[in-house]
Amino acid sequence: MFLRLLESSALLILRVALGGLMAYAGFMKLLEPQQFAFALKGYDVFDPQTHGYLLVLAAFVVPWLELISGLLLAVGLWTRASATTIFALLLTFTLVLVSVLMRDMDLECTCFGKADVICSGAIGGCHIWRNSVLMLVSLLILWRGAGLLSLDHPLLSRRLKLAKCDLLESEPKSDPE
Amino acid sequence: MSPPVVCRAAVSCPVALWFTRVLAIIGIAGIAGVAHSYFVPVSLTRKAEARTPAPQNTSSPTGQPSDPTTSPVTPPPTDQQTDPAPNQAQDQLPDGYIGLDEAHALFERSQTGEPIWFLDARHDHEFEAGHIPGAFLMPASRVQTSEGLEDLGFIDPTGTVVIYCVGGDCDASENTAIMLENLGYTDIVIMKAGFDDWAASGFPVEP
Repeated sequence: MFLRLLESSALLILRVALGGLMAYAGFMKLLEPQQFAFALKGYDVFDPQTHGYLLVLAAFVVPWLELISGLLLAVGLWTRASATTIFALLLTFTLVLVSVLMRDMDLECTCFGKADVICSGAIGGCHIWRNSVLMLVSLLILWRGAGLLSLDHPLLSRRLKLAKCDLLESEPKSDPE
Repeated sequence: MSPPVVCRAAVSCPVALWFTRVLAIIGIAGIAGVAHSYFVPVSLTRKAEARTPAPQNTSSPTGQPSDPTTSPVTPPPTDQQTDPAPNQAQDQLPDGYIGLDEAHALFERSQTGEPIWFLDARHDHEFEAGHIPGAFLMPASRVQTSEGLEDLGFIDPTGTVVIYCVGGDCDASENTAIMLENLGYTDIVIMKAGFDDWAASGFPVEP
């Protein structure tokens, strides 16, 4: 019982921390989408002359994805889905950072807009380690659930869903004639 | 399958529910992002009409007017024998870019009071280590800040702006050029060579 409480408390802390961090990252990028677009161009994944529209789309969609999934995770709503989204985002970012390092490019991460969180300066091992830890946290939440004080309380949500199914079942069927 | 059966199946099948929610999150973010992009313009390439600066009928120091049919940044004729290599190099550079010698010629003209300014698009620690005399620190991220706008207040939007960074594949200059075009600057050229090439050529630098 005590261990379960301890685990739930730890999951709560990790969920709120990771969700808050991702929401903050998304928000900071949304403040200056032009700068994030420049950063994406700098990673040299797509040619801006021929695929500039993809970079512009990513410059807006990625921060919104971070913000929405971060907020959902922080409040514990759709926890596993938002943890999955965050893991996929972090995996993509990490692969891009690794490719930047392998190509010996001197670039700044702009992962949190102008702010530096844990790591600062040009992209390096610190950024890879930071993202790896965050990915592990998201995997843990995906595996073990939301923990304490989440809107995804299994008993509540399942009851609500089954009540909705009962409501559908009890609705009078329309007469085809 | 009737709706209640489907409903119970979804409740009983968490994988389907999880997958649906992931798609919903991505879909909502996609819609929000696309809608946001309509209100906030973002550009990644320079405007085509702003790439080649308009010819300027400014007089050269020798008193002879420059030929408007030639490159607008052709250095004025001097008593010294000119090296044909810079003109040939200029032909190989893409629109909106100038070579080292052209940049130096513009620098010389800027020292005589002509409306020509140099902007340094590198990081602040690189700028502090050395830069072209009179250049303003102006990476793309600084353009819209209060400090950047204050510095831009000294630059005539109708004048010539020369932007440089570390050279090579550095796109910091292009990013700054894009930001300046959004502010209405039209006569912008980028020095293809970097600051290190400038300093190695023996041209003036200041700490």
